[in-house]
Amino acid sequence: MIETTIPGKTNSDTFEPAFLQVLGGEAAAIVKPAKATESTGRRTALAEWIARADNPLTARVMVNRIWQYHFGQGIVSSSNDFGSLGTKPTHPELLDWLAAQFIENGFHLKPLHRMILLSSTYQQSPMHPQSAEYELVDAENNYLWRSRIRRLSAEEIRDSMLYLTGELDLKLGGEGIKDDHNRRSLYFRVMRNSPVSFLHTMGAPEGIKSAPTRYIATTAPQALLMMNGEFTYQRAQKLSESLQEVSDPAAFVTQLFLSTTGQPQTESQLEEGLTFLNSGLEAELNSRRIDFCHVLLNSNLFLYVD
Amino acid sequence: MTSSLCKQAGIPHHEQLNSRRDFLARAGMGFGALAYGGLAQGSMIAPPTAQHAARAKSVIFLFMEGGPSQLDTFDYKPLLNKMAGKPLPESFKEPITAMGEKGSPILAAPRTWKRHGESGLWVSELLPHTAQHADELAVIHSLWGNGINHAGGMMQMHTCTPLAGRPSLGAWVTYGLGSENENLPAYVVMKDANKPLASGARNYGSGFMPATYQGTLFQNKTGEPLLNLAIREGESSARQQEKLGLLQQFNREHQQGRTQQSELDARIRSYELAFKMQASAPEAVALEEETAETLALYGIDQKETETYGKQCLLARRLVERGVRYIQLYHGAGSRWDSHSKIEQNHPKLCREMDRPVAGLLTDLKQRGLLDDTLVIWGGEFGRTPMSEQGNGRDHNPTGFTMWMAGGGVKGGQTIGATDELGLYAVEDKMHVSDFHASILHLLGLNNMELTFQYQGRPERPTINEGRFNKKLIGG
Repeated sequence: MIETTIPGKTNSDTFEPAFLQVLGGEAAAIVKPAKATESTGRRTALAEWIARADNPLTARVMVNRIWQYHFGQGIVSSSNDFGSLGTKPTHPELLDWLAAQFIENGFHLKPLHRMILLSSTYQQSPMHPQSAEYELVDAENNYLWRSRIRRLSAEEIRDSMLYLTGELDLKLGGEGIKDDHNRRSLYFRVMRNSPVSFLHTMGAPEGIKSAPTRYIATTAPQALLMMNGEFTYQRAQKLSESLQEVSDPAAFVTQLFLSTTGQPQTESQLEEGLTFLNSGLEAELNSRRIDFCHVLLNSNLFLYVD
Repeated sequence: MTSSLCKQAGIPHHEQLNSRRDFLARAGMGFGALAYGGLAQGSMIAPPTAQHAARAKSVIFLFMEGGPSQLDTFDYKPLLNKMAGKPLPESFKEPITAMGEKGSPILAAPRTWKRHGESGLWVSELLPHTAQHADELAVIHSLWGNGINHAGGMMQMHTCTPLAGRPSLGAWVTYGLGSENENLPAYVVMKDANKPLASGARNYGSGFMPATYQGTLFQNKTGEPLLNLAIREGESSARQQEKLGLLQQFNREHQQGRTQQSELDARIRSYELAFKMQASAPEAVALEEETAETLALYGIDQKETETYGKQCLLARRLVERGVRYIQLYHGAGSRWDSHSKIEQNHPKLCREMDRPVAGLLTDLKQRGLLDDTLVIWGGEFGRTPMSEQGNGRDHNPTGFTMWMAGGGVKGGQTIGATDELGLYAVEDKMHVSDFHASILHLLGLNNMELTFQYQGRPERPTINEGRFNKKLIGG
């Protein structure tokens, strides 16, 4: 048995390992694991305490986090703080119910995602026939009477662009990557003294302190990055290249709209697209096709989901 | 309301209401920022714009990276030369040195010192031009901090604590006061060389606050101060206009029926603002508009002073255009770090920055900008009276010098003192947190009232420490 003392205090009393007093403060039963002979078993005890079936806090925090990723805001919006300084849940019964379901499903994430994504709440439109009336009651849409638009995160923007052009390398695991790879942004090595410029500008956190949620600021430097930066333009070039076979301008516009925005274009969008492609000289056509891809990658149709 | 599930399990989940202010309508949004999403309710508590009357509107922080020696510049210690070669007297508490040399003898500072101006401030021969502004300077001799190496010292001088992760002072100021010119960043950073700073971009980072409050590093290329400012090579401005036209058309169509979403409107405006920046930012850095006299004033006519001179002149141009906080690094890559051969190092570095800094003070004054602009000079720490490697000095965070000028500061005075050898601050000690609190105070911000809600804690720029030193304004 290893004794626990206050570091640096030579004559202090020893302590018995226990859990946070605010959460009950019960003593911890430490069992030295049979297999890991170097281990005292304390972290195992903590892990088991956190993940035990009758601890609803873990499940509540987890389902809230998943909800936050899908809806842009958690049921408890201060997702790292369920304590006395945190914010109230907007739907407390729902949070409890989801947590109970999550526990019942053996802490599996896929059923939880499926349940959320198939819900009518998730599938709502951003437009609502009574929006003028509802705005008066809940202008911030905290009660989810319509869908909330959500800008893609920095990593999602980069990965989606690479996916569209067919460049995204979906390999799992392995070593961290540098800026010049086409693997998912998740695999970037985080150099805290010199962050990845594209992700940083689009709002990825510094990677030093825990970031409970993404601040999606809308800024002019982001517009400069997306319009004048090399990365987005190169993706536009690749995207245009991938549609080289599609010579008919209308088919080109239609296919692009479907792949970048996930929905068919409207008539006016088709018309505007064709006008843009057909302006100027014959020799400009290729550069106009690239530029049209570039415009779509910059557009809110691509960067927002709702 | 307490969750029923938690209640059953006996686990508290208390909530209290946070006030949510409409910060979208406010100026304090950071560089070119038009909207925020993803903020938890009450996570930003927008500070009142003027917590008390501001003396300064902007800050120019002249940062000597690596740690300049107070003993060779502003903190005159005649005893140093008398005791040269001898060990530190036993009456001194044994210092912890970064490089760990123990019992090294005192190193002489072979300088000529003179009193300057009506105030009679002591300045060494290494800074003849700065010395002419003695009556403008409030020289603080009693700074102290906790970071003993460069990473920790830099972190603390910028974020108040040696550990990484907190917002820099410039980010707090930007958060608190916003920008006066939406076409330029509120917080600009420039380096005299393309070398990494100790602790890198974290020195001007925004920590746990949104990234728009971070400092924007100006590129060394003139004409394109901001990354991605210039239109891509090969694209005509007519074509860009045409593309922007189509983009805005698509964005406006997308916005129809989604009008409650102010973020979409902000994004449309962000492209308009970006377009305006392409015109206004290069103008701000167009030094060719300056007269030959002005260029000479900053030492831009001489090779040794050209680089820092240009940056100091740029700083004045940016202040004129409403930029809030400017950080100018001299000696980027820890060049002031004189562990050995300080006699080669310090005279050269002083020559490089002395005229530009003096030129900046003269220029700000003659244009009536000095009253509103707080100019700060110093590094992450000072240096030891004991030698290192025979002819250098080690880091000294226990007593070092920084000065302030302008921005309502009473010049021609010294504040605090170190001991007789300049090792420890002994009188009117000013911790880095006091220093930061003082800078904030001069800008009209109260270090205890400026808060940002993070992880359930109202975070403050100086954590819970730091007091304004009234002597700075003659109190």
